[in-house]
Amino acid sequence: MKGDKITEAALSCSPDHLKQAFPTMGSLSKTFRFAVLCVAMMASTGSGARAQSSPGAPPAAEPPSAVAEQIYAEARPKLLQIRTMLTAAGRQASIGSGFLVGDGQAITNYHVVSQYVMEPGTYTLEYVAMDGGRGSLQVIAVDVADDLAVVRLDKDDRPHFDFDPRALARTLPKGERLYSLGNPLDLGFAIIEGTYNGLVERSYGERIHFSASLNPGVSGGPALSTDGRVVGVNVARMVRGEQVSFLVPAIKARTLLAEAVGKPVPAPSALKEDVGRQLTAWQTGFFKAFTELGMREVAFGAYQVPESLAPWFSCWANTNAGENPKPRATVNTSFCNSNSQLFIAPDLSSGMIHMSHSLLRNGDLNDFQFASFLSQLTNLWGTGNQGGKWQSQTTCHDDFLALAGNHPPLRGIWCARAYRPFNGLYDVWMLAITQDGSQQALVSRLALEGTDYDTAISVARHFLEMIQWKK
Amino acid sequence: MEEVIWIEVLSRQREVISRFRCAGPLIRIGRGYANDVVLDDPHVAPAHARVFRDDDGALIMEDLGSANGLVLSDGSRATRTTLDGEHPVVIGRTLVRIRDQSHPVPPERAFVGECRIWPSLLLLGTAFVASETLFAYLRMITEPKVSWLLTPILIVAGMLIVWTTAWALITRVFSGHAHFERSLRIPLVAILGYSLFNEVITRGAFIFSWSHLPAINFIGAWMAVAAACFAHLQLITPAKPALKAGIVGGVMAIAVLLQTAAQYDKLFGNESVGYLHLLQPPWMRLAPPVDADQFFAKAAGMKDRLDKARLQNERE
Repeated sequence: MKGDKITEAALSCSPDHLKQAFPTMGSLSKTFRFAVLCVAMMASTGSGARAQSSPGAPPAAEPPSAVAEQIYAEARPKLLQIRTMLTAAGRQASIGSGFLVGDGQAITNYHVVSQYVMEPGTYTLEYVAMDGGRGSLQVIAVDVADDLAVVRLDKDDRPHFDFDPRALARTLPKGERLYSLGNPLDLGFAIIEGTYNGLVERSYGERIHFSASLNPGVSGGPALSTDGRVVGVNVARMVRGEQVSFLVPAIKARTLLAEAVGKPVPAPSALKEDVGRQLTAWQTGFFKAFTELGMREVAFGAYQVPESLAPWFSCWANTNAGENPKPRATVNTSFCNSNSQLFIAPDLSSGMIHMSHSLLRNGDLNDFQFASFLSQLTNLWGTGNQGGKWQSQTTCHDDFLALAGNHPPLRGIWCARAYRPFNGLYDVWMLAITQDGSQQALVSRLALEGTDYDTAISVARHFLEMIQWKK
Repeated sequence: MEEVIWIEVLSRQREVISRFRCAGPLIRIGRGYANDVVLDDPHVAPAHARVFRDDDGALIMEDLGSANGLVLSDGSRATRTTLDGEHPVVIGRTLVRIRDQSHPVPPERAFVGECRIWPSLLLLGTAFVASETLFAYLRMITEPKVSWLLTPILIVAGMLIVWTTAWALITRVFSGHAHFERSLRIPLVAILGYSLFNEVITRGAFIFSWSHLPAINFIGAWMAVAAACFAHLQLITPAKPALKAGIVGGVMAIAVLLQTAAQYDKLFGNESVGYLHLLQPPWMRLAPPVDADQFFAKAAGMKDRLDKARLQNERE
């Protein structure tokens, strides 16, 4: 159906031909799925245990790769592969990487351990060190917003990494060489050379733009400066981009580590509750920032529509005007998606705001046909996992609306679903369709993920009241 | 005047297979060649029965001491029975009906009767195609294509023919006449009725802002099927309309209940996505609009329902 296509476009944000190098919301969900589905491919591959570096090489005759060789050699004993084991099968369900930071503790991504955190009865965690040593892991602390976790090993006899002071002070220059370490696709540990490119623009959370090829399995591994100190944590890549990857800044890892030091091992259920608390706290701050930054009125056809002033939205537009055969009504859509997605579980992401406005202008359709055309744009989007593992079924309420003031008559649709594991978090959709005639119409959509219900109502109400006739 | 009595051998469907003209008043029936009417049925005795008039002038059939005797239409055995010209008597396994010359026959049926159905069929068919064309046209949002319109009509026409043929066969078996034209008229009326019902429901949902109304569309479909079945049964024989209506209505009620039960969650429960998907021109709206306070009060009221739904089937 045509309508599906339009909504899908709204979801997948940037069409391929636009070649914009920012993670789009459609791809972000894939972007974050790093550690997932990295099943062991071949037993023999990547088991090469031979020394790959010559630490004592003379600096004078240094070949270009000498720095990387030395970094790798020094980093080797401080690296871990982190495996999420399906307990019932005794085999890995997903893999990631991690790095030691002292006191028998290591840092990795939250998403690497998310299956264990969300379903502790189904999964267990295990680490494999470069020397072949392996053992169990305890999750001490998680930071869902920054996708980090601190894990504790069963023994503490290995060297560890230090954080780069320049990275902590945020004074690294763009263009600096960084070396990322991790075990991509379970092929064995690898060192990946790339460039530091500052912080990602238009992102709610702080992320470093790292120009290198990160692959599934290296999540949670460190990105090091030339002197072998931690600058960031490998977290994601842009699926559609080439060599566009992301790091969590080192300072976030150090902050979480400071919280975790000396902390007793929390019970699995406490961890999950903590994730819920963090999400609630996160969305409070997020929607507060969203509300405080405010919205402005933008003219769109005969209407005025709201647009967020928050800097962390990616906004695009598309049209059906060029389609062949020529469409009988034109649809121009402008849509904005917040770059704020949170990974909660491999099949549950949250934290985004979608806003879009579609302006329809009738060509030669009669009243009924135009209404049918309009109907195609009224489907919800992003309700793919209806009534799934993590969310309740979507429930809706709709009615005709007459707002006091300079507003066009509307048909309003309100839909919501609750998160099963977390009390007080919801996904909410609101659609407003103007009902002022058959020559033009406006379909405005608002979707809020992982929001508190009252916040959703106040944000949606403000959004709705900003849909007006053009002054 | 010489009395004429007709012995008619009937099929199980009460159709006349053969007819013997006998000069009364005494007729012998049996397998033997000494009889007036010879029945080639191994369960018939060589001299099985005789037909005669008693002192009151009534036609009587009497068993002549056969092993299987006479079986009446109510299934009872008899050695002697009065013949009314309507109910056949089973001799062996053969149905035999005896009528005399005074037996009344219905008046001649004019050709006009059956012919009158065709114009109504044509009218109904035209109405169906016209309404489908109109509804499809009103929903057409791309460039008009004939195939887009014709395909559903042809599919429905094919289904109509299959349905009609099946019922015509059933009617033929039980009443002796196929009544194809009448059998075709019934589903045509039903499908036209359902089509209109569907439109009324779809548009009514918008007009009165009853978002859940389209969910009950299936009731209309079952009602159309039940009405058609009842009409077909009436065509076979007009007898016992109340019983037929009861059976058809009961089956329909069960079907509606089962489907409602199967879709309960989807229709009324937590699974209802429940918003109006098909919009109509704004001028059709009759429902009074609500203000923002009322709309968001309803939205806020959903919270408790969601919180309950959250804990259903929770996986721990």
